[in-house]
Amino acid sequence: MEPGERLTALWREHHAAVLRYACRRTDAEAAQDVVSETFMVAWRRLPDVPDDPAQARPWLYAVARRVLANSDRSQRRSQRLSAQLTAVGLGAQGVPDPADDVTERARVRQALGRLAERDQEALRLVCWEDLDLAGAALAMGCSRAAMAVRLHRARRRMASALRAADSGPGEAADGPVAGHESHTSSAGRVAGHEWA
Amino acid sequence: MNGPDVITGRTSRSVTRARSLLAPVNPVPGDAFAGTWSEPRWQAELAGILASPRPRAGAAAEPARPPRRNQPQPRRRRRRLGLSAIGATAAVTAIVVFAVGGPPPAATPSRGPEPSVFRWPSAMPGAQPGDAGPARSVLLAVASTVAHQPAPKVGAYWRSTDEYGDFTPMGPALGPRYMIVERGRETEWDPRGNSASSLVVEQWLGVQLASRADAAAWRRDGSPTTWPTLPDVGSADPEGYTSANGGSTHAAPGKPTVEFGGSGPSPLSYDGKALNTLSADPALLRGLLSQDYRLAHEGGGLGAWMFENAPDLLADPVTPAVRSAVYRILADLPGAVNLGTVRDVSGQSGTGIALATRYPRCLVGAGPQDPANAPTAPCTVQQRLIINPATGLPLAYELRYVSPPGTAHWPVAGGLFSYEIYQGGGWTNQAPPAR
Repeated sequence: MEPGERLTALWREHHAAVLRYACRRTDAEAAQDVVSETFMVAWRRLPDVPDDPAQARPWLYAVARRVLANSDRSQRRSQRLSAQLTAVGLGAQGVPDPADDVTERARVRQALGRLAERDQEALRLVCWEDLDLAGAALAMGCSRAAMAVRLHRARRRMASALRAADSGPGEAADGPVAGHESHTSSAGRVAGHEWA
Repeated sequence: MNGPDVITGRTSRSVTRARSLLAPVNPVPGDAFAGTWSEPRWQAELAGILASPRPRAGAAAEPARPPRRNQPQPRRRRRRLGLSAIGATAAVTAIVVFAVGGPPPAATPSRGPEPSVFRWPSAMPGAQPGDAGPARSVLLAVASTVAHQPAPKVGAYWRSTDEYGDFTPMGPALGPRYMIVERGRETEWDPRGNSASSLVVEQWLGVQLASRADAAAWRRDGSPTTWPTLPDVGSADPEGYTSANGGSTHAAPGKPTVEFGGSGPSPLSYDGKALNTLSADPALLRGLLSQDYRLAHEGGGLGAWMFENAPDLLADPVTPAVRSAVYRILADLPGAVNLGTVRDVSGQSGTGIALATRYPRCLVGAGPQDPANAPTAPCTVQQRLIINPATGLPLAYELRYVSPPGTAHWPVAGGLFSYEIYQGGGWTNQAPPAR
């Protein structure tokens, strides 16, 4: 396939996914820059782009990730975004939710926002980008086995952060508390429910 | 790396759970922007890209892998993550309080049982073994012993229990400070194959006071039995991990709670097969850990990273060959010393292997501040792994300050600030507790 055709095919196939990827990590304006820059890199390195679409997409994510990381501007935006995301009561896509769901979402967002970037990225890649281990490994630049460990640890930290989120002020009054509030049975039940 | 699909098998189940949790907070739906690529402005963008020059064939390509994030991502060791993200890191933050004397959160005096005093085993603390020579020969001997062990008979569940403790200073900013020990226990039940979910039984074991002097200072502070947890500001310390703020620490022990195991043995070692296949070869295993290290960007260097990963690998359901490989990796680590026979805090004696590492960025500022701007200073931490030389199984893992950051003094004997006791793991056909 001629280079122009090849890039156009990649564009058609993966543009939306890369744009989603970027929008999940920075604001809309910066996300557009990330997409353009990502495909520009793909154009310059066309022979490096895997032929298999299942690998091409994670490869593009890996580039997008680097573009994001290299941009101070988008980093600042990303921080702002994550501040927004962790703000209590922010419903996704502005759709009104039953109060419980809103609280629940806020709690999950907050817990996610408290994880290290690397852990967040591992979870986002498999949960939002729907990548499997091999794809996520490609996107994060590590082996599949290393990715399995990383994901495992990220999930564990997420569970821990959720338990910690359950121990916010005001819950201490709810009867006897067992040690660390992150270890209370009520917290455990909620987290357990979440992850089961 | 095409290992057996125990890896994928295990992970796909957990991924399903993670997805159902995180999907509702996905800010961009999965089907968004479906036709965007063909919009005029994006077509113009594509045309611009296609019009730009490409390097000629054979020209040096850019590196194929994204570089590491320039931001350090310190990471804590795995076992305790599910247990005490707050408590475990408090020690790091707390050292700061000693150094700077910043305003700590006020403890709430309340009625409750008085915490007991931490029981140091005999010959602890402080008895620094004299003959700290290179660890290589003892590690190679253990590697050789372990390699010839028969593989264990695999059961329905891998069950393992760990107990941990973290030393944390508490008390008023200007009055007498005292050291408490935050303790917990975790038992993991990890099913072989995909027949069931993994479970973890967590139990808060309560707070102890580190010494009689600490108990006296605690009484002068009004005998509080609840403390606000210090905000964790993250750190470059080996234990540094930016985790949740807030919450409280309670002196009284809790009841065991059964939770879904966002925990368990490393997927690498799941079923005792994957890790064996992938990396019973020390070079391959080392390569695997190195890859992980490159992304973790540890401040302590690759050697410290290898050492930090060893205890959990040794405690996981790995085959004797893999356990042996771990020991061979440790044997090759420059700076690893043999402490001879030592005791852990529970009194078990075993062979002590240690590695002291200088971390360039340990926190010396307290309070809820931006981790990126928190003042730091170098510190030196000794990782200590205590093993049963006959079985190759880990008995304990300890972290000790050789020199705390800044001008801080760490008032615990031997510099100990965190310990983990491996209470044994093995295959069982027993059923796990019901959730």
